[in-house]
Amino acid sequence: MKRFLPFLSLVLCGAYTTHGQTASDYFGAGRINGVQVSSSSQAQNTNHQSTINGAGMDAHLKDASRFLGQATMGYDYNDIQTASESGFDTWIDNQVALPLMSFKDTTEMVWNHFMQAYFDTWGEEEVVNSGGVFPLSIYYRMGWWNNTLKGDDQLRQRMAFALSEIFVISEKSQLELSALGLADYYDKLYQNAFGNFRDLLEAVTLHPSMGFYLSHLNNERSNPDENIRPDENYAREVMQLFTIGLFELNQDGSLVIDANGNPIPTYDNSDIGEFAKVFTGLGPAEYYWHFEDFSFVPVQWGDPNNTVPTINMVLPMQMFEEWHEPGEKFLLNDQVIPAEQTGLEDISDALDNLFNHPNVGPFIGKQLIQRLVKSNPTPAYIERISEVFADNGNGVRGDMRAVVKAILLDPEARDCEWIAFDASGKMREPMVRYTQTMRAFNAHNESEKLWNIAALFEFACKQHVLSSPSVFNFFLPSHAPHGPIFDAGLVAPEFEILTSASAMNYINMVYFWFLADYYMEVTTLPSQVAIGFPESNIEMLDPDDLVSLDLTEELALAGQMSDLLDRLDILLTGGNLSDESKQVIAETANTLALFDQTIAVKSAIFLTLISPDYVIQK
Amino acid sequence: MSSKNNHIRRIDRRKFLGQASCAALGSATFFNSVLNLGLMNALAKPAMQPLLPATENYKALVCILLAGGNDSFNMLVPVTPDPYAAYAASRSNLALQQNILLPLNYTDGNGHQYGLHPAMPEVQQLFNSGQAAFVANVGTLINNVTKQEVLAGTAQLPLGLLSHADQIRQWQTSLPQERTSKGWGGRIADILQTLNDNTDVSMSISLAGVNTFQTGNQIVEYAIQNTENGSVGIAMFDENDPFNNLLGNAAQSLLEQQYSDIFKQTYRDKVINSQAQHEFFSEAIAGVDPFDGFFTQGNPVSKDLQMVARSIAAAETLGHTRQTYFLTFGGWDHHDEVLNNQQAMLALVSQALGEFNNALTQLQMTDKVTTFTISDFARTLTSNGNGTDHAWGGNTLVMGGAVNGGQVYGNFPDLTLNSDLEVGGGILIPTTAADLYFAELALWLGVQPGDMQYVLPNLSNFFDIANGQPLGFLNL
Repeated sequence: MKRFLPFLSLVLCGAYTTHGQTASDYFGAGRINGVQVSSSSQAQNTNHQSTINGAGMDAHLKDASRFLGQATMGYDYNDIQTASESGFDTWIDNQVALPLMSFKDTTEMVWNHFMQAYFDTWGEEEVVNSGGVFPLSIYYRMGWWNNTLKGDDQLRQRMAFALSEIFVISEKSQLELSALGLADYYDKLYQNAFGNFRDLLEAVTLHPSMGFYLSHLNNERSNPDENIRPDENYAREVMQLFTIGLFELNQDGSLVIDANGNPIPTYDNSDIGEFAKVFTGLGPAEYYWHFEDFSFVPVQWGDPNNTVPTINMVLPMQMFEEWHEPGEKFLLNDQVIPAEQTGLEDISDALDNLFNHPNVGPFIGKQLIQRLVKSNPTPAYIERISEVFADNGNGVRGDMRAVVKAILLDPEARDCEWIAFDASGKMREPMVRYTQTMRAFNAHNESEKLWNIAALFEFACKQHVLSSPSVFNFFLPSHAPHGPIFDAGLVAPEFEILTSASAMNYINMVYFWFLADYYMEVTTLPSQVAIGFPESNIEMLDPDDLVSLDLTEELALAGQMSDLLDRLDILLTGGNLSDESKQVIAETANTLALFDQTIAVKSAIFLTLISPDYVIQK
Repeated sequence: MSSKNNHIRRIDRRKFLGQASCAALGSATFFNSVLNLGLMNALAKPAMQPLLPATENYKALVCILLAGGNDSFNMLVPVTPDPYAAYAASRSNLALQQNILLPLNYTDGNGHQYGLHPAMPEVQQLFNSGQAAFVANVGTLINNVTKQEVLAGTAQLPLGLLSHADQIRQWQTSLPQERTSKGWGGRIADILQTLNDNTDVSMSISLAGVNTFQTGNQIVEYAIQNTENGSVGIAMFDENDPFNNLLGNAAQSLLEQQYSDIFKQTYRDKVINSQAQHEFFSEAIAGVDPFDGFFTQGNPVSKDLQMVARSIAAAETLGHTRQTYFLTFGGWDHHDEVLNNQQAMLALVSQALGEFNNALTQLQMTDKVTTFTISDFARTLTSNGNGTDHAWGGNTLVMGGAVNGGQVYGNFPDLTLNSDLEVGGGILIPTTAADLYFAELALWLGVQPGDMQYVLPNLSNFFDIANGQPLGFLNL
């Protein structure tokens, strides 16, 4: 990934310079010639007009947009109308019923495409022998963007993204060498998004990507003679981050307090030692090499090849009983794993022990609320979600479909009074702003390959899927930014990545999208210079890969900017765009429209997207 | 911009603000005027001129967070036979061979000598030339505790001891009994920011974005990047053409609005604040030596420290006589492959420190800049096969011309398992409270003893600052 950054930042700077010249061009050099002037009344498609003019309908559409802002990675005007017409309950059911895609399959397709392109360009032998050609995480990124922008199952996708920020693995590790390992891990989150939390926990625990990231892959039973004991990494984090957290919680998310007024730790270091024994004996399922089949070679415990990228990263880890810690293990709440069980039985018991801990509902429920709806849910909201986690109404614990439905349909997520509450809402995550913008205007290209690398975006805005700097995600759930949020005793996790640099970069990024017409870093050709890397020279890209947005409906409103702003308010801000903001943007856009309507419309979108009314989701 | 270089104008603005620090939030009107000036003067970029006469008084602390928990008992290793034997027995298959350790010219009060990890020749050279020192077995503590108290459960222990999130935070807050987001570097800035002629840019400059260390009660960090000229502004404000002016004015109007919504206001403040500080910072740094050729470009620590060196070179123009810098080098959580990973990563740290020292030498500012490391914790002395797990006390590194170098401060612990310090698995109770380490650094930067209670509230649990220097590793 790093290999792309220097070049791409050059592209950015170059584009700014170019644009600076181009922009003055608009005003001085007759660029208004040939611009088609149309007013909204002349527009062919008047459907949106009548919609916008109907105030009652507007309110429904704004509601639906606000809902979709919480429930999807992005949506367009049609999606808003669909959700508004079906009702949110039905919309959720319809989403759950949609067929699943596969991030692994898309990623594999992308990798196969490039591998073939490298063979065609350099010759198969040279590529294979170069030693430096790997299925890198960039191919996963390309597949992820393609699926995310094209997929209809947006609720599942948003849930997968939210879960990827709780069950964190990251390509900022040797996982960078395994696009398929990243993609298949994401598939597990995506497939289990509406399933049972217990199944999700097991899929995560046994996945080789997690095994590598939190080092329980190849974890050995103890050897007291050598002062060697099992690796505690996964044992600690599966409790601290993935299930129960550090302290006993009430069902409303508040801390249980002991007689001395102190919080009660959920586990101590000896508990970690016991769980560490459980997560021993897991090794790779098979060997793998991206240019040759090695799956027939039996896996030997302790072989130096038992790690990324030489193992199969899409099959669950397998248990090597002789390397699993024998004997009893003492779990939480006085449960004991009996001796003489298989390793996988031990793991199953330990995961059951954690899954049934009363903390899981409030601990995971609150974080999902934070990811989807708001940073500071009330205790009552958390408790309602905890109740659903504990029992979906049919006696089933951990039903994620019921949990996500409860989160999104809760009065605190839906009722209008919360919009006006000054401490409600959250900052939209940079990634969601990006995907939402691209989906709102139907980002597309001739090649139909939306294979975004997004390296520049990541550098600018400090976020990309499965790219966090550590297992603690991009931001902590408890982060409180300096200022009125901290002063109010509240939190706003996403502000941890809003720095003096990234706040500026985001604005420049949106400017770059709309006013330099460069929306996505899509490349499908092989580099002609660097063997085994995609083309990154902008001069050499396939023009068919260049991404455009569909602004037809917006351009049709260029003659009546107040109508355009009403549309953007529905499409982007969920009814959150203030009258003052609308007025400022409309005035500017009206002036610009005298010269160039396209630039005027794009400027209006740019201004909307950088405004606090958009960046903050209410 | 000419107005920014006009000292008299600056003072007027300060009066207007009523001494409010601009690095703190809430002086919206001021920032609006800066934005306005920024736009009006987008074309008029005069040759840079110093704001202040050259000062001999400059000092900066550079904090390097080795995030994830550096296994620092493989960074600094006893080489005298008996303590080495204890080391080797405890560390088992992770013990470094005695003959590959880099010799340090130092013998402690017990007659023990030490070696350095073989990947750190630059630090070896700095140590042996008296420009670097170590502080041994430092860690987070609320009070001094004994093994008996810890094992009996009667000790008052840091919250979330052995966990990353809490320990990384406590090294930055100095307050292991709380989960606060305010850091001791930020509290230093609360006290010392007024020493700077220019209070419009935070004295707390971060290469690692938002961070706890530099979050004070009033002053927060100003985050720059290690690319281009460091600071980032709104690009269209730099373009002077009718289109960008019009668009810039609209953006400005949108962002100038006051919002009763605290989320919108916080976002808006961050944008406005960042642009205002960028306008000062970018101008100050534009004229300084880029230190081309001093730093290895593939080394992320070098890249950060190159920007720090440039920023330090710009400090005088910026009107700063006191600064802190914060950077993070992560990836030390070596539950796996600790030997190979540490070999690679300590080499980067050492190389970067050597290069940074060269750049500061070029600036003749080695004695004005003190660089120090912090990390979540050291790691278990015992092995988990090929890695180590979370522990407690560990060794830190200090570098600079003001360092009384060539020594190991604090008490280097006995590394025998089941010693009086070892509480299981090779986890060591710290023998020096992190507060002492911090206090020494704070004193050097200019915090008065009377302000130490504000900066380091727990310090008095370990040390009476009226008694002078806590550890002695800095030449005050």
